[in-house]
Amino acid sequence: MRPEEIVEKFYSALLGDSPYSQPKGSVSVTQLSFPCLRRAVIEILSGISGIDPGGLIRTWIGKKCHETSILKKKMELELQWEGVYGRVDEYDPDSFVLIDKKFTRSVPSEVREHHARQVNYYRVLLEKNGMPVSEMYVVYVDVDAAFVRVLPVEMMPLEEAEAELVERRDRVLECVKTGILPPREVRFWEEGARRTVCDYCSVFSVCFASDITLVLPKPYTEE
Amino acid sequence: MESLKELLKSRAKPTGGFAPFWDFKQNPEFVGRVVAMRKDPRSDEDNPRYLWDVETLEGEKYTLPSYVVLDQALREQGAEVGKYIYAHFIGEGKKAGRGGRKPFLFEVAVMSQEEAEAHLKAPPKAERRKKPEAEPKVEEKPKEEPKPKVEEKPKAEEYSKDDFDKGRSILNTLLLVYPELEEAKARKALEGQGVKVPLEVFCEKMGLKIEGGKVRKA
Repeated sequence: MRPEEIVEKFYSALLGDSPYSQPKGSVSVTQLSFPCLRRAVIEILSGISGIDPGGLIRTWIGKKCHETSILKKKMELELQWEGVYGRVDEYDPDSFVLIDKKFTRSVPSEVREHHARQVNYYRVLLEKNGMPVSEMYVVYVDVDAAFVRVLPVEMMPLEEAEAELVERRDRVLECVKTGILPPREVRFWEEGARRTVCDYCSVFSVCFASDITLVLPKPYTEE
Repeated sequence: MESLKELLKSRAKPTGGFAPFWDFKQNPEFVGRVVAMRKDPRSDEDNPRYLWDVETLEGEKYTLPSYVVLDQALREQGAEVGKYIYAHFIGEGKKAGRGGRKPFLFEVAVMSQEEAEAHLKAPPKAERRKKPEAEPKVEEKPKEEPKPKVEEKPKAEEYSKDDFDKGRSILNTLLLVYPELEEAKARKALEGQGVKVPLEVFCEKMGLKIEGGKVRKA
């Protein structure tokens, strides 16, 4: 077998082994957690979540790392509530601890805003499914420098988190229904950062090729 | 005599009146809410017919003309004060016998207040404040024929209901996600989704205004 064939099989295997099983018509907590809802609408409308080979490999590493349980309790807990889908990394039904794991190459000193939002939304899903939460953490693992940092997540009042989740879900579904793309939210990751969130966005090309409605690449024809 | 006249004139109060009748010949479709039901004094005591006082989605008050078929259809579908209705005049039917007039035929739909208001995302504030009233509303305007619509502007009824509903939904979404909605963006969105109704018609019907290149709630 030629090396190129092995590379081809490798990427096919990674793409075929999709970690997502989001039910059709639902919006995921991850999609709702990003400041930019445009990405969520594009992903749902186009059915694509573009990813480059580097991103694919990083996702694969992250997925493999997720397989190691910290709490040895409930893992990869798939939950749904009111059209919102979420997969909770780890939850302990005895101590009511919720953990979300992030495998990155840059560990922040404070929980990133959208990660905090994501974890609070997971809490809503858990509570609505009869699983109370008393503590929440993000476990950041730097896969390059090889170190771990555990940061507690401040709990939003449950009603507030629920209202925010519902409001964002409604915005996304309204846009999906009418085919309107919400505005882009171009912003830097954090103060002093060189790159914007758009630099890492999986739907970057479709987003910037489109304005108010979705523009997908035209299929190739002889004419 | 003149002084008595002046005295009486100074004490004079305007009489009430009812809202103008909705002219189904000019505007075949009516969409709005029932604000009052009054017994038509010309109808039989045993089998009364109703005059329906209504309010458009933009808050304009009208009375639906007293047509037997329309009144029956509304009541059969459970229309009452507070509910939202759709009445579409589809033409004249055949006479039942030799005498009488041709009946006016309608398509009618009735929707509960809850369902309709859930559907009307973020209605204009002025509209939200207006509650249905138990008593018929007395308008300041004297009873008169409905004023003809300004002909220069494109009229909503020239366009299909589906097209209009689609455009309304698009504009509601735009206003939800774009705090400062550019006029050009709104036009592009309507055009891009194949809506043929011009933006100005929506502005008129949805209580919006175009100001400084931005579309805003009036």
